[in-house]
This record gives sequence, structure tokens and C-alpha cells, in this order.
Amino acid sequence: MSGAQELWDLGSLQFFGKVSASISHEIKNVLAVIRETSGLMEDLILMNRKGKPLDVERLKNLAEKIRRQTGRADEIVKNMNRFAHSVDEPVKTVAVKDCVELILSLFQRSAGMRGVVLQADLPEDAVTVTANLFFLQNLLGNLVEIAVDGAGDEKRIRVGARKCPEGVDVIFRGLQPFSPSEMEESLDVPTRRLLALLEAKLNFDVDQQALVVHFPVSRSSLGGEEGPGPG
Amino acid sequence: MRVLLVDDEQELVVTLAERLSLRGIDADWAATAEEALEKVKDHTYDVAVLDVKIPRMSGLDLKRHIEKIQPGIRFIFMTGHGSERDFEIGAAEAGEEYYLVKPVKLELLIAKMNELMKTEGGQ
Repeated sequence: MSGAQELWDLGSLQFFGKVSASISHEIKNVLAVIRETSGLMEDLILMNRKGKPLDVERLKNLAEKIRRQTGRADEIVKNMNRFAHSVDEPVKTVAVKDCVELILSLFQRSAGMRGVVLQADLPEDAVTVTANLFFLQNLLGNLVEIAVDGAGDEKRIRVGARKCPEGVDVIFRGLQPFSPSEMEESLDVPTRRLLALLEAKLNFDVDQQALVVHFPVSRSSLGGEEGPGPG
Repeated sequence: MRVLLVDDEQELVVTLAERLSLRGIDADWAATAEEALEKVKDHTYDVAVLDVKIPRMSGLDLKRHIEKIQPGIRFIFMTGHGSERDFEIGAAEAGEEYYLVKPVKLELLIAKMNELMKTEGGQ
């Protein structure tokens, strides 16, 4: 099987496309706000030329709005850059906190479209996994989508991580009550393949209404050093 | 002409509404589908300009809800998404001419609104 076919079967090309489309959508929104705000500034200046007094404070507020939106665009592009660099190395030591925070940022909008808020609930101390960063992001992105689809009444998915003696767990909390067997059956083929590829195992914590993805010790580093994190 | 602008980018619709008002177009705005439906219950609009992707409800679903309350209202869609599938679905609902990709030129938006005003009872 060709590398491209393998990536297709893993859903990775689709994942890359989905994230890229979401980012471009975000940037388009920012550009639209900047265009209208600068347009309004031009309108006010034009009206001033026709004799209407110019409210300097108003202009200042509009300039501030443009500055704020460029800051927002800068964050979006930084995230895009980090995501793009996730394919630089086949395997690396990844800071789980950085990786989860990036994925939550990238999926915040699509979750919001479904009325769900994503929240990072991560320890500051080093929890690292040695893995292919892109596949790890792909898997976590798929699990975010599964969690969002199954979100409970609070409509808030909290994503945490913890060291455990056998490895590292990433936990998705805030789901509605579910049946583990039905959840297991609903997993799509790419998610199953990514779990196998990363030697990870998905567990269902019914009491906590949580999904737990476990990375074994062979794939994880239990602390001490902070991983270099993504790109 | 009275128009309703609906987009979860509040800063966008607020500014757009003000720019339209400066050009003599009476514009209200809403940042959620729920707010939009409340406004449609209280006021009569000639044109609704809807973002295709609104939290909890797609712009296409919102169009159907609005039409039930105000049959005959005309629609323009604005989108930040340029996928072929999105385009086909949006264009099928509003007509290719009335499915605009952000950022949209104000003059073009007003021209589209004026075109729609000449049609009988919407698309």
C-alpha cells in the first residue's frame, strides 16, 4: 500500500483538510471584521469631509478593534503553523499539555457550532508521550469529535491528562451517560487504526462519564523532563 | 428596506449594520439563531443576510425557521467556507448569485439586496 493510500485510510488526509478548512474559515471571519471596521472608519472620514464632526474617540475605538482582530488572526496563524510543523519528524517526545491545548484550540469553533465548549484541564507538570505527533493530534482530534457528539447536559467537554504507573492517560470528561459497548461499536475505522498505530487503548469510564485514552509506558515518558512540544 | 443580519461574529454584524444604516438601509443584527428568530417575530424584514454556519443551527435551517414566521422574506447567505459541497448546498437554497464568500464588499451586498427587492416575495 502506498504511503498516500495509508494516510487516506487512516483518515489523516481528511483530518488535515478538515483542520485547514476550519483555520481558513476563522481567518476569513477575522478578515471580514477588519474589512468592515476599516470601511466604517473610511465612512466616518468621508462624512467629516462633508462637514460632520469627527469623533476622535470613536476612531480610536475602531483602530483598537482592528488591532484586537489582528492579534486574534496572529493566534490562529500561530496555531496553523504549529499544526503544519507536526509532520516534521516521524517520532518525537511530545508535551501532552501543549498537544491537547493546540487540538482544543483547533476544534473550539466546530464544537461551538454544536453548542459545546472545550476546556483544557491539564496538569502543569511534565506529562510526555513519545509518538508521531501528527497521528497523536489526529487521534485526539477524532476523540474530541466523539466527545462533542456525546456531550452531556452541561455541554462542556473537559480534557485532562495524568501520569499513571503504566503510562499516560488523556481523559475526556463531560459526556452524557453511555453504553461502553455501543461506544466501542461506534468508533470509526481510522480511529481504531490510529489507536493501534500509537499502541494506545481507549477505555470507557462509565462512573465518571469519561473516555480515557491510555498510552503505555513504552510510548510515554513519566516525567522529570519537559518534552520539547510541538513545532 | 429593512434587513436582518445574522452572524456569530458580533463585531462583524454590528459594524455592517452601522455601515448599512449610514447608507439609508434600516439594519438590525443578531449573533445567534435564537436572537434572530425573536427579532423576526417582532419585526418585518425585507431581506435576511445569514451566515451559513451559526452555532447550534445551520444558516440553512435558520432560513426555514424564518420563512415559517415571515413567508416572502428574501435571503442572502454569507460564508467563510469555500468547499464545493457547501457552495452547492448554499447556492441551491439561495441561488448562486446570493451566496457570497467573506469578506464581502459592502457595495456588492447592497447591490444584491436591491436586486432581491425587485423580486416577488423572495426566491
